Amino acid sequence: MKRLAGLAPLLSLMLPGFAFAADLNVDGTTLLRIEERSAPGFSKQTVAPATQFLGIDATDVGAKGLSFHLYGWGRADLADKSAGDEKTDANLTYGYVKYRKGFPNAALIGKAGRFFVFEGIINEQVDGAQAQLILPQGFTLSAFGGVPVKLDRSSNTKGDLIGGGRLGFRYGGIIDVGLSGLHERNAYLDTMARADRQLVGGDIWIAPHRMVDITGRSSYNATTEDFAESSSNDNMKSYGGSLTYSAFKPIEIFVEYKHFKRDVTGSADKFGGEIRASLLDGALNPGFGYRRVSSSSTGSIPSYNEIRAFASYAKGAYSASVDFITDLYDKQFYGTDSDYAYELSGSLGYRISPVVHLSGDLSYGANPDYKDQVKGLVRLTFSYSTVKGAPQ
Amino acid sequence: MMKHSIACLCALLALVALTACSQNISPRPALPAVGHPEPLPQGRPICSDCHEVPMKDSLKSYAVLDHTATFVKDHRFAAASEAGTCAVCHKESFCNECHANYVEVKPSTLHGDRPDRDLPHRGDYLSRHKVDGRLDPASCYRCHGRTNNEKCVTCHRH
Ligand code: HEC
Ligand code: HEC
Ligand code: HEC
Ligand code: HEC
Ligand code: HEC
Repeated sequence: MKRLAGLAPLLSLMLPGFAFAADLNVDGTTLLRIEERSAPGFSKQTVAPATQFLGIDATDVGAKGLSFHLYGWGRADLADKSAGDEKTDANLTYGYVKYRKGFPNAALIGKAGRFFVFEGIINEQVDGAQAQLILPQGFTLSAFGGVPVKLDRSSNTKGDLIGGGRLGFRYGGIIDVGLSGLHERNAYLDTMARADRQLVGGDIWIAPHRMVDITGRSSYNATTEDFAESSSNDNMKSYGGSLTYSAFKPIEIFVEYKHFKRDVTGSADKFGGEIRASLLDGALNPGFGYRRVSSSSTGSIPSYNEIRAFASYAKGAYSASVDFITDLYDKQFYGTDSDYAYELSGSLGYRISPVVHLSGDLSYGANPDYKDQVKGLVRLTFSYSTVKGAPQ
Repeated sequence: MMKHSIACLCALLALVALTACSQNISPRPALPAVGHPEPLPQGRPICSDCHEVPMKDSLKSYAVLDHTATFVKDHRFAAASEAGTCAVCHKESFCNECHANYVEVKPSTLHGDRPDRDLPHRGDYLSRHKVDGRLDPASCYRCHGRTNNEKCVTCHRH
């Protein structure tokens, strides 16, 4: 709760602004979960965490183009501890102000606070600032800097400072390329030692024809002098592809294949697909999926079949869904006497008012670690918006 | 702690009561109320059903953003260069329910009432993750980071 409390001054500073905001959106989800946990080697526990998620988006706060965005959660355990050492926990996922100014052929976007950066090869959460320039002739330029957001317990795993950016160029709707880079000072690397982390890389998108597009990304880890996502003592590679086919509107068929090769586990293939439908004007959505993992080294990776079937239905204020998933292993799972895992769950929902929705889930399952496991959950969501006649 | 949660609930109920009479609906909370000018049909949108001319700034065909199963699986390519377009319809929280360093529940639990969505980790994943993790650890690091989160550290050193 401490960190959310730290937000209070920021919020109270922003509150007068909200009064002038053109549009205000507030979303919240309250979850009350009840689970019985019994891992081998640990005593049986009942956990009942209550979690509140909160999101606020306010646009044109005070001035046109200035907006405020916040999302976070807080939890209190009503029974045994559900995670970590404390009975309460909270986290601010993001909280930032954003300013956007448009020009005839360009735009400038600035952000400050805590936010995520997804650009090219960059995927970071920072406390800092970012500027993006959309320039004429298809150029884009963005740069960010700040302090990487630390994870709670092992708070020493992130560096002290981080910065990076992406230069992009797009032309005629057929090509979009970007060059991006990242530098983190005093980061924590695989080896437990601290060193600067440097990544440079490119992303490319080419569409020579309306129906074809080719995409790729590659990054080079300048610190370890290696291509990222591989390390010298454990080489791994994967490749594959997927295809979506929609023969006629309400039915979509998806197939995928992936091959994995890794020094320490040998090679494996994963293939399968999914068929999903949208029936009764989108009110009923059933789906079925099958996947097979077949491994050359049954010791470290068991071969198995995965089957999933689900359906969701909504009518008026009511909604209902069922979901079933099972993994059937060819052999006993990692030294246990079990060779399967499954979970069956169901959910019922009711819209109390235009802004409030109540739902409850119940699931039952078994797997190599837990003999029979029952989980229950109550979910209350509200979604408030000052926008009149907001599109659905 | 009970006090905290009761206070939270009271604040929530007050907000609910304050707004219950309001008719402003945004039935999919993670989609912004303003943004896309046209109401979308149920389910995943196929942009090219409605958009025939290419996108204004990048001139790409809207078909590249059609929300097919393949797009959903491979959205990282579109996100890397079209983040601004995503934001027309998605609040950042929509992305961060799946992508975050420090998430309280797995997405398939948060939205347990939406089996039709492609949310990470259906069913009990603590035992089953050992297989997927060994098969392709690099794919996990995209979200969990090389330095795992608090929950992973209970069993994993780093
Ligand atoms: C039900 C029909 C429909 C679907 C489906 C649809 N759109 Fe639109 N969209 C519209 C209409 C109508 C407009 C307003 C006229 C225009 O700008 O073309 C619009 C406008 C837009 C705009 C311009 C908004 C602005 O403020 O500049 C963007 C961007 C956009 N759509 C993206 C998408 C994307 C991406 C998808 C698929 C994920 C999509 N749309 C799916 C009908 C649709
Ligand atoms: C025109 C509005 C629109 C635009 C623009 C748009 N989306 Fe979506 N997207 C949706 C809607 C509606 C859904 C379905 C949400 C639901 O099922 O509740 C969706 C679903 C998704 C999902 C699937 C989630 C799931 O669990 O199945 C992903 C991933 C996604 N969008 C990513 C993106 C990315 C990345 C971009 C930008 C490149 C983008 N979207 C742009 C409207 C849009
Ligand atoms: C339903 C869960 C889900 C949602 C919602 C979602 N993503 Fe993802 N995202 C994934 C998964 C799973 C992957 C990894 C896919 C893979 O292995 O290639 C991924 C990968 C990515 C990556 C590549 C990350 C990296 O380091 O390689 C980016 C960037 C990304 N998503 C951006 C977004 C954005 C932006 C949004 C919101 C518009 C979004 N995602 C919404 C599940 C989601
Ligand atoms: C799209 C992002 C994403 C990807 C990719 C992803 N995860 Fe997760 N995973 C999450 C989120 C979000 C949670 C919930 C938060 C948490 O428990 O840390 C989670 C939770 C977990 C959990 C805890 C489950 C539980 O019941 O408490 C395990 C174990 C896990 N992931 C393993 C993996 C493994 C192994 C991979 C790679 C095969 C992987 N994840 C890939 C997002 C992702
Ligand atoms: C209850 C204990 C436990 C928890 C909690 C846990 N794991 Fe694991 N994990 C294991 C075991 C046991 C293995 C199999 C032995 C091994 O390969 O290290 C494993 C294997 C893995 C692997 C494969 C390692 C490799 O290189 O072969 C990955 C990746 C992984 N886990 C990711 C995660 C992530 C991410 C989380 C947190 C979201 C998580 N695990 C939480 C017990 C756990």
